[in-house]
Amino acid sequence: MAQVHFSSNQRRLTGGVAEIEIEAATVRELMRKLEEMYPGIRAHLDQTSATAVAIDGDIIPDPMYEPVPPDAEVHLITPLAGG
Amino acid sequence: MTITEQRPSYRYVGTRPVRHDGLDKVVGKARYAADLVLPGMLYGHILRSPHAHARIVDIDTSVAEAMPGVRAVITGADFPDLPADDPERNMTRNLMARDKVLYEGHAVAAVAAATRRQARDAAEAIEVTYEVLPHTLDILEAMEPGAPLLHDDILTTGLDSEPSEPSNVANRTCYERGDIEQGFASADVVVEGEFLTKPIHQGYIEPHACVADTGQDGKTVIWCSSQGHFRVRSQTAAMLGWDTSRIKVIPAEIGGGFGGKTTIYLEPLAVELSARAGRPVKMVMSRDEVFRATGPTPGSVIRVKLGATGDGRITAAKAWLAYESGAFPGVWAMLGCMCVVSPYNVENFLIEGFEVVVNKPVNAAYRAPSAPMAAFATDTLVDEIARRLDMDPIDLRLLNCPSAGDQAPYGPKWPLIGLRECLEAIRDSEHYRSAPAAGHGRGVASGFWFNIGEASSATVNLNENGTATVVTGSPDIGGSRASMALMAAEELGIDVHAIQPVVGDTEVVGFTDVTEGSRATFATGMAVVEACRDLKGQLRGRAARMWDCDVEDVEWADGRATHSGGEHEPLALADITAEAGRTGGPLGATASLNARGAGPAFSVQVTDVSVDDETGRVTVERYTTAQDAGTAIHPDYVEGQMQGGVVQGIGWALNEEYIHDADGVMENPGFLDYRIPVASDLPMIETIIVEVPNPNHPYGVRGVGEVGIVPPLPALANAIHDATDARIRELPMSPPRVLAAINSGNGA
Repeated sequence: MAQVHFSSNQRRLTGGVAEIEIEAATVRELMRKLEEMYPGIRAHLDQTSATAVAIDGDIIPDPMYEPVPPDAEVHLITPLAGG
Repeated sequence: MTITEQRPSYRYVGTRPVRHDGLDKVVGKARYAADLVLPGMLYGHILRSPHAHARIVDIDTSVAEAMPGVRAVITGADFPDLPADDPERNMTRNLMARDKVLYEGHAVAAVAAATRRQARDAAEAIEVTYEVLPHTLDILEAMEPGAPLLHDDILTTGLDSEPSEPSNVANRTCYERGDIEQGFASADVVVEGEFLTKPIHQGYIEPHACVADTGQDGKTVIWCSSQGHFRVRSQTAAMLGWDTSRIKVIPAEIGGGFGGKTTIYLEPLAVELSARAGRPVKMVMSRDEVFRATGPTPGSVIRVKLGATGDGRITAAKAWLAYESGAFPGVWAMLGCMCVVSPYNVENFLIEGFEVVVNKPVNAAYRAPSAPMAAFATDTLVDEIARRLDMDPIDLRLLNCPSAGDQAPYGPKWPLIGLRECLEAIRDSEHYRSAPAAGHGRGVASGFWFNIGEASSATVNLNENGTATVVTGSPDIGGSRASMALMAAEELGIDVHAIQPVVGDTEVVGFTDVTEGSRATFATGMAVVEACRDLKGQLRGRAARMWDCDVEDVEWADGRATHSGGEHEPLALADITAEAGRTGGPLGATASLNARGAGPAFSVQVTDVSVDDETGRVTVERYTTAQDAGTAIHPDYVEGQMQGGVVQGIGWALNEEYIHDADGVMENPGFLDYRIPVASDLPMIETIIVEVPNPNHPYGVRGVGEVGIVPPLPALANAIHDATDARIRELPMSPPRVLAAINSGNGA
């Protein structure tokens, strides 16, 4: 089960839940399950530019097809820019 | 000087060969976009807004169109109006205003004519009727209810409740951990302050330039200076409403970018003018235009409060950050929030950030975007804690230093990082162990930047004489071609100058993301290594064919094939390529990948300054920077990146700022009035390369292009305080400001 962590902004959509466990093979499946649990969270992530994920510390900017390893630590964050 | 933790020794990686593109640059043969001249070429000129904020009532181009030499005139109405949810909409509206101009310098129309003067005169003859609107230039003023609104469709995201009214605040970001009240309650020392920075420009020496040649077949070729020609292609296509396959972009040499050339300004205008005129069109910005209409990096207001125990452990951090993003929203406050306390382990924090639009040019990335302003606040206050506790500032930082497995403030756990090693490198340096000269002040600071991966492609072709060509899609803004050649040399076992590294155009190499985020040597280097490893497999196969043996009996090492049973004399790479035509054809390999596992970067710096107490002028007497490179593929260019970042940070700290008058007109759009450091202003920047290899890269690369600019702002503020007792919390720390601080006696 992957551990999904929510930032302060995101907790408004999760009723204050900071962390949950979800079984998902890919980020797409994880997002689908999150939307079932917390309707509107995907739109919120888009609105707040939190469209990247960090899986076990590796920040992936366009992650929908990315595999989610068992016991992975997942954070929903903004894609990084650089100079 | 290089401090290496543990890495293998290499034959080519880590050496310092002359760069492949060096001679052309030294003798003036390198070709930049502005150098290109095509037969029948026209010159483009842009008419820009004189107002900071105004509604465009009417644009009359009739007089301009009839002027001598004029072949085409365009306005915003000549481009598709992208829907509100299109991610490129703001970019297109920045390149050419539609209903409103949002800053002084905003493009309104463009002309192509036979000569530069004709194009300029015709642009000036375009009659634009404006309804001037109230403007806002100040972050805090722009955040207030009732401030002049730039956009009527910005509803702040990230608030606890949905807003009903538009505002200039695009979003709110929040990161929170632990119990902030308890954290401060357990502190013995609490420090806080408000820190102000102004927008500053990336200051690349080469202005934006391009040539576009649009043919009757509906296709166009663009020659331009950019940090990413594939993004030039996609953004140009978006603005024109074209399919990307109609656009070929050929990268010219680039005269500096630093993030400012990760987006476009000219190319779609040149393409459209060329299409209408039936001629190639060249557009080259003046320095004035570069300042008024490109870049800069955001100004900011940042309030930080830190608490620490008596033995120096930071117990709590509270940060409020507001970044101005110029005329359209960006991601700058979010990035600032992610960086503001990252060099420290803090159990309890509350970080809140706001993205604010103002009537200034749209911000662009600048080395480690948003991190320097955040570090200016935090590392100044960390210095205050060290003074209050009478602790060595390096020891204080070591006490609070994160390492692999600790939770970064922005969420994930840190992978292997080299902050501790950088702190120790500075602590043990000759500079830090020597006392500052009498009258000089010393400052220390640290900085963090993420580094990124993204998509890269590389093709490696072996020539019949045993040399190789390495083609990548990464514009070389910091010596990356030499790095690519070194990694290929290491893999193939041939001399680095037997390898020609080339930056290919959008039709000869696979898609490659922009050279940004310190990613080229990391990610594109991975693609080069992968292609070379594919080639080594092919070379073993060809040797097996030449020896008539199983490929499993062939080994590849040190640039040659050897037979495991010793039945054949080894074959050098050139022996195999010479026979390639008879053993299966030319040898080449391509790799495309989306690089994972970028290694975070840290830098720690120490500086000594003297301050003239009559004028307030600060002289940087000595400066040493330590930075974790992972592995330095070409140490000369690693050191060059470290030094360049520091120098730009010194300019940011001491002199650079956008100055606007009350009407929102920039008053210093030239290098005479916008003061960047020159060589005579600076001591030699001493470098210590720290190598804590990134385990996710075949050679341990982290990327080195950005983090060096983060620490100079607080390091210099701390050094000035040490020299004068004046604690300055507003940039730039220019002579008038320093003198005022000294005279006011605002020590802390």
